[in-house]
Amino acid sequence: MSDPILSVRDLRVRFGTKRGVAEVVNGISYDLHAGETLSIVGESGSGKSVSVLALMRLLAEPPAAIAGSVLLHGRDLLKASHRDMRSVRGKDLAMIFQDPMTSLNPVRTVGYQLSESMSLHLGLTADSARRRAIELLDMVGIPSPDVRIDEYPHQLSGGMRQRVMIAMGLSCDPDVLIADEPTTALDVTTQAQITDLVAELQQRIGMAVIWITHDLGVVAGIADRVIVMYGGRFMEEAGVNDLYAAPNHPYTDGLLGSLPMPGADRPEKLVTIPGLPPDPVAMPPGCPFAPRCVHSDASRCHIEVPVFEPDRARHLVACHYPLQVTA
Amino acid sequence: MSQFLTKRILQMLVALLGVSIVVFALIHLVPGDPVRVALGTRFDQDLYDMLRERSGLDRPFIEQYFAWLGNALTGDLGLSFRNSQPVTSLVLERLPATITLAFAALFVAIVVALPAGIISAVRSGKPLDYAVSAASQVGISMPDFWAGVMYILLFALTLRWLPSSGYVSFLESPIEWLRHLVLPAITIGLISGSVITRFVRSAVLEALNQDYVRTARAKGLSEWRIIRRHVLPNAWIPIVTVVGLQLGFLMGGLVVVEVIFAWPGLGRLALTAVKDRDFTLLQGAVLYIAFMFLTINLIVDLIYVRLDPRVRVS
Ligand SMILES: Nc1ncnc2c1ncn2[C@@H]1O[C@H](COP(=O)(O)OP(=O)(O)O)[C@@H](O)[C@H]1O
Ligand SMILES: [Mg+2]
Repeated sequence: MSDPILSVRDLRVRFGTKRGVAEVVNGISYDLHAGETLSIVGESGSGKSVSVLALMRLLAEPPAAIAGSVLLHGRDLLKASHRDMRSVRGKDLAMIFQDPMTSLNPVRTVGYQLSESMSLHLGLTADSARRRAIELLDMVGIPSPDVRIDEYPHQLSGGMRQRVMIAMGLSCDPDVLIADEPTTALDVTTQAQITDLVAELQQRIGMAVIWITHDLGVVAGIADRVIVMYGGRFMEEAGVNDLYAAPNHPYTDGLLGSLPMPGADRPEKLVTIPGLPPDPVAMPPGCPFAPRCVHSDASRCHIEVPVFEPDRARHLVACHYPLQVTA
Repeated sequence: MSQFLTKRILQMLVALLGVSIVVFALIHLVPGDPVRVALGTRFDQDLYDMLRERSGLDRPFIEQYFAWLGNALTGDLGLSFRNSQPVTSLVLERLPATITLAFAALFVAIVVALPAGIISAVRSGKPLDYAVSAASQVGISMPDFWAGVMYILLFALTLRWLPSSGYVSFLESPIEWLRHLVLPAITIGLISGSVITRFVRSAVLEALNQDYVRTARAKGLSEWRIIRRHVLPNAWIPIVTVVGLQLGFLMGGLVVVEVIFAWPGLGRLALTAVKDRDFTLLQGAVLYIAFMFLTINLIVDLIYVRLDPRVRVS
């Protein structure tokens, strides 16, 4: 396999807070290859957003302290200067966010916000940036883009705004598009449209995508590979079909159990995992999921942090007692 | 837009009408008969009756008001009760000095408040922020008359850099005009500036914490560009409102400062009119001050519409 575009090694993020040190990301490692779509899934509060904001270096340091390495084409972003980081953001790594209602500047036109990174990174003149902005709006499925370009965000629906955000993310042909729960704030129909749009653009343009979601249900349509995150750690990593067919981690199993099955007519029977995610200021010493896990035992799970065993290269699980499901 | 403007101008006229009623009522209801005060110790009943009749004071209050209003609508604010000069010309004579001082003070306030507030927000929680906060606290707590007297003591009497009082017209000598303007403008400007600084800081801080700033950072824009192109255009909206309100406050401060610095403005004119029970002059002066205030509000609203596309469309 070719060298990965992005290689994250032992990434750790802590925050100094009034209550103490919050250990939010606790040593995660992954590779992202060209054209691949990787989905990071986990409940709210598991550190997904912080982990990607950290690699974009978009967290204020302090209170954040970031350790590990983030190699983009072999260069460590965590050691890059602020100036170098600015030339990476929006150009090599683009990011779109959860809430399209607040992610766009209310007093700037769509065209202004769309053209900005193109004039910055591609050196386009105002005219050519505008022309390309109209093309991009067309590409993300916005009707009459030559009119919409001069509108303000409040004149667009949530779905349209997220399309604008996507157009903005793609404007400089990034190697990696990071989408942090881009559909969470949208209604179900729009969610599907946005997911399809990104999947289709990904096919056409060939950038790699990191798709973050708390909903394992939306992953199937878009991801090649899935990482399940919990308490700032990776619990399981597998190809999307493997993961659905044979979840090895009790947490993944729990997440899948809380999904409505296609055709299920009794949604009230959904199993949800009892308990709450761990408090990052008081991380349990062993497996972060142990306090909620029905399979955990006092001798190992609550003491020793399980890690990925490198032997099963395509399907990794961080659990002392993985489920013996055979696909 | 023109509909908006029509609506606002109508509102303004209604407000002016309200002001005129209140002022008229206050003047006529407060104790102190203007004619009696004017006559002073040389009281004479016949003269008193004649003067009351001539100035219309013997007629019922409502009738007096409508007579005055009718004339005011044609631009005639009557004659000064004290020295029989037309009120309009007395007021207009003083207007340039007041407007000059108001704008100079506002200029000082803005020149101080914008950079201080922005830096304070950008460096929030750092020593510079604390220094700015402390300085603006001092500015806010300073009474205007005290500050004015202190500046006179320091810059005029001790250091002898600037004149302590008076006014020179710009046409006569631009340099002297400026030298006379500095201390009164700074007296009001620094106090207003301190208040505005706080609002600028919180408006910028508020905008800095918005999601769209994170979006802008994710594009790779430099911090300074983000502040100029994304943060400030949003922060202007609350800032302009506060500056408009401050102008009202600032005009209140004008009376005190005009007196301290012997500045021949409307505020001092109004104060003299109060002392002399020159009710016609006072009515005229207050009406002009209200008119200026409302005009400023109108301008602020128009700027507001320019700044916020959400208001513009709806
Ligand atoms: N600036 C911060 N200071 C302290 N704690 C933070 C900060 N940002 C995020 N956290 C904590 O990190 C944890 C993970 O947050 P986040 O990455 O947003 O979760 P997710 O995106 O998976 O829902 C949460 O418990 C949150 O409270
Ligand atoms: Mg999140």
